[in-house]
Amino acid sequence: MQNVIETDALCKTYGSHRVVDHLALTVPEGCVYGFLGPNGAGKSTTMKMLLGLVHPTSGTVRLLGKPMTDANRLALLQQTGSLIESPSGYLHLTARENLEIVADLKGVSRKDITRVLDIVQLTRDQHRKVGQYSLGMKQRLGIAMALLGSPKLLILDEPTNGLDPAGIQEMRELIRTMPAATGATVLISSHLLGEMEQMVEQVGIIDHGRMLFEGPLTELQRHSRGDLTLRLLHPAKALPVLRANGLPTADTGSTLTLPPLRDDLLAGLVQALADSGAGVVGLTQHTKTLEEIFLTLTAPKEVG
Amino acid sequence: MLQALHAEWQKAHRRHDLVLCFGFAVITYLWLGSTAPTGADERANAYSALFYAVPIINTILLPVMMAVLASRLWDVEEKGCTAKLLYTLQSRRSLFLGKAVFGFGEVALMVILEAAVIVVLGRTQGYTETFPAGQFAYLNTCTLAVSTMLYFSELLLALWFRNPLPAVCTGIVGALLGLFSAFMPPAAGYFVPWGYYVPLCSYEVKVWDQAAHTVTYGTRPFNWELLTFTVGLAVFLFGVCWRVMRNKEV
Repeated sequence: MQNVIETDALCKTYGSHRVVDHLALTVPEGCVYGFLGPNGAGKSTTMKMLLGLVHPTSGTVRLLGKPMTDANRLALLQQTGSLIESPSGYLHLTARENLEIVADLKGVSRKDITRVLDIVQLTRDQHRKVGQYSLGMKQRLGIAMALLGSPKLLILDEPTNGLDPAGIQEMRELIRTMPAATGATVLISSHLLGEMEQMVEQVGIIDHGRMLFEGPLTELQRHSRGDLTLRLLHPAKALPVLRANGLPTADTGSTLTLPPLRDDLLAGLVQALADSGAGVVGLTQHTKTLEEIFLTLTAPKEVG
Repeated sequence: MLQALHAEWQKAHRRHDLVLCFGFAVITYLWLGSTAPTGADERANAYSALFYAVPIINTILLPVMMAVLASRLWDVEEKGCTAKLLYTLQSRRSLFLGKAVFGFGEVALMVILEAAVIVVLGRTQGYTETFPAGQFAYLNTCTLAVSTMLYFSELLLALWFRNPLPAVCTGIVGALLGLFSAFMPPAAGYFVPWGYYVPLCSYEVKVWDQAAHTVTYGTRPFNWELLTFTVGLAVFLFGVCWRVMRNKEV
């Protein structure tokens, strides 16, 4: 599988503040790649460098298999769609008129406008001025602009920002199905792991400009497993079982908190608790927040 | 380049720039038309009077018009957060040249419309003075040069401040300063670029008969030095605008 994006030792410094620090980002073709990090981690700056909107202080960017230079930047970006931070659009023009401008600048047939309007479900509102649109509609128009010409790569910076729950759900579904529907590879950033888990296959975690983790989502989920809460009818009966499995025990009423466990160990423990007559009523797996995962990644201390 | 210009044309749709250009021409027509020469003496001196009045009207109106046009041209990009999108679709040079050429076109259209107003007034109000073709060409060249220089200065403010207000306020204050400088010693006018229309004017009051309330106008040599300086300043401001846009990070 070819990599659609590759960066090597990418750095960006503003004054004495290093925003992106020797970043190595690898996005395989045909996947939805989640670029995660808290606010101010360097996600947007990295994405802007990928698009040539910000000049890297040092390091290289390879896009669609070619090193990006000033000479070939626009040619490479013609095969790329992007939505960076807030959505773009001329407020005094309608959605269709906005798309006509983008289509003409991209050198794409205007016939494609109908297709992308349909994908983002703006067909009915295409003749309304963008100034009258809600933020969600503007985000969808931004996605439509990015989709014009069926680009091979989509770079979307927090596209669900400011959307209502229904809009977030719609956007997630749209992005999740994009590789299958359009053949595009998608790089999407967010500061919410929970949001990403529902649409990405590959993830990269950045903090203070440095890549802390990059790999499949399943591997990250191993790091993201938080404590387990066990609710029992007879906790006293559970204590010998827990001791036998080498797990910390403390009498805290009807609930017990356990450290993260591998799936096979957890299944065995639940079976043993049930056999002991402890009466397992509920088991809740907590997911770590991004900040907690960062701590895990920088100082891993996993049990099991 | 043509693609960039076409994009600017598309963006101007519903921005009512043409209304502004024609509005300027209508105001000029009404203003100059209201002071139509009445007697035979006035008609014999009418083009001179007109060519003396036009730079003063330009000093009042055009700095504000240039501020409005230039700030609107960039404000659509700021309000729509479109710069980061456009820079992935076209080069910065192409975007800048598109805006510069389109803006210059609007300025030129205003000058052409004003020139048309002068011709129409001459025809409809029965001026008997011989049409001074050379002075007419000089007047329009000066108007175009000063307006273009002001246009790029206002575009620069719009690029710097990412807000149309400083450019528009500067245009209004500049118009007042320019008008004020017209009534100050000639040397003072050289320090007020918004009022360059007046020191560039090739007509002056020769005789003012206070008792009879009559004015006789005469010509003075073309001010090539100031015109050259104005063109140079316009080119300099064009370069600074390009530099700001080129280095602008989004």
